Amino acid sequence: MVRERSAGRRGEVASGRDLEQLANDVRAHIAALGGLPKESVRDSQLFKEELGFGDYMKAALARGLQKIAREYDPHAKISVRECKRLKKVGDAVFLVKKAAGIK
Amino acid sequence: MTWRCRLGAIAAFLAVSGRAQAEAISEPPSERAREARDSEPSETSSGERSAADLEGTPPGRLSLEEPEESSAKRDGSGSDSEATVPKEPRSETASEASEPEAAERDSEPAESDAGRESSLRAFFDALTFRDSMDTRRTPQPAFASLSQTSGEPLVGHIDAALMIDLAGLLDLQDRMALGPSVEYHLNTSDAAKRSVLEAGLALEWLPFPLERTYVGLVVAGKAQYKRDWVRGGNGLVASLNLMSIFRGSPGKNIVAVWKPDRLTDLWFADFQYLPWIGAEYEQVLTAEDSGPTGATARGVARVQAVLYPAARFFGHRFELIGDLALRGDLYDELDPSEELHPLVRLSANYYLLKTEDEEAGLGFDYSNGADPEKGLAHSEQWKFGLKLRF
Repeated sequence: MVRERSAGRRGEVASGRDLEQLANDVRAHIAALGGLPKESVRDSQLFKEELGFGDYMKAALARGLQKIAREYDPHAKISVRECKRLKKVGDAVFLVKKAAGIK
Repeated sequence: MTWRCRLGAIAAFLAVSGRAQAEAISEPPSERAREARDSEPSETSSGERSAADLEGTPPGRLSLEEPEESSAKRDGSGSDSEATVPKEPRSETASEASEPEAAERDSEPAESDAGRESSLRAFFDALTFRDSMDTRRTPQPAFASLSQTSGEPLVGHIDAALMIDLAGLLDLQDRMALGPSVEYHLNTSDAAKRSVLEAGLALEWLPFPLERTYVGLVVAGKAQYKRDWVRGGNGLVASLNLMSIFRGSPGKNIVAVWKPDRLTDLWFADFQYLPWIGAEYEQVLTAEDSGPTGATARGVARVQAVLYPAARFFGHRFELIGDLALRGDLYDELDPSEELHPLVRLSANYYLLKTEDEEAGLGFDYSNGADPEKGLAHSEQWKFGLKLRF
């Protein structure tokens, strides 16, 4: 598994497959909580206006997003406060990359 | 405000840095860097260190280099996308000083500045500033207003609260926000005079992972010291409130209108509601003028509904809020005569600036009822003023 090889290497460049896998995992997590087909979640979609996520629904994403980030960096942290501030799906992908220290 | 301007500048700087970083992710290593490595004489990788090497480079900056493994794959039949970059020892990689690396070393001071600014941003990110730490409703901006009608004294009104989230220190940041908070509420009108300071701990907790349990729970609580300058006295207040949230509601579909904290598209408006049940406890420790001291426990049911009319046109900048709270005394040593405390609040706000982090606009509020938790006796109030949240 690519993720196993890269786990714990904070600050390194991830391969294209790593990044794509991470983004897919994030979108799948959002789709699961939002009751949406996985394929229908796009980075440009707005959490509140388009997906209907309120603040607490966004906060509930934190646990899953942190779990994804910790597959790349075991010390990654994502807070409910950060998740409440998410505006777009793409922001969630970027947040996980940032927390995982992926460049 | 000057510090707000600074914060804005820092945010802009970080946004630019973030974009640059995102570009770095998506772009393949430059041909220039490849050529530089390919043309390097072999002796440079045998241990001789350049002056630039001796200055050192932060480990993270090595990330733009390509590993030998992936280079070999590219030269042969391997695929770049398969490779994860192994970190090479500095003494070897830096001697292959390509131009991008040199440019990065030049930018080190800027990087340390960015680190400081990042820390500052992390500090401000941990701050919450709004009208109240009451998390049972959609957060409203802090409110300040001054008004005067002819022949009447000037009336001031402030609702402001500040919290610092320290859940990260306990590694619980993914399921709760927890930290010290302080809030102040002032109203100088004769009808509803109030001057209350509360300081203590505030909590917001999502105990169950919603991705595994269909039903989730939000727990909002606080435990605070309270100083009331109008009634006179000191006390302790604590509250714990619960709300359910549900996984798997398909977007803004109207079939999920009953699910809390979901926005539903009602065609003419977006709709959202938050229902809470909970309990409050208040202990008056000292009171002026021989006022009553003792404890009160109340059960609370509260529903807040938010309507965003013409959401497609206004983009959620225009909101109408209805908030109904009903408190019933379970045990009361302070004022046994009144057992029920209904409170209705209606608001209409228009935000000139509205992002996920910040709101600034004008708002109109009407309230009718009593909020014993806030030290507010039964009254009817109209307010119009500037609203700020960040």
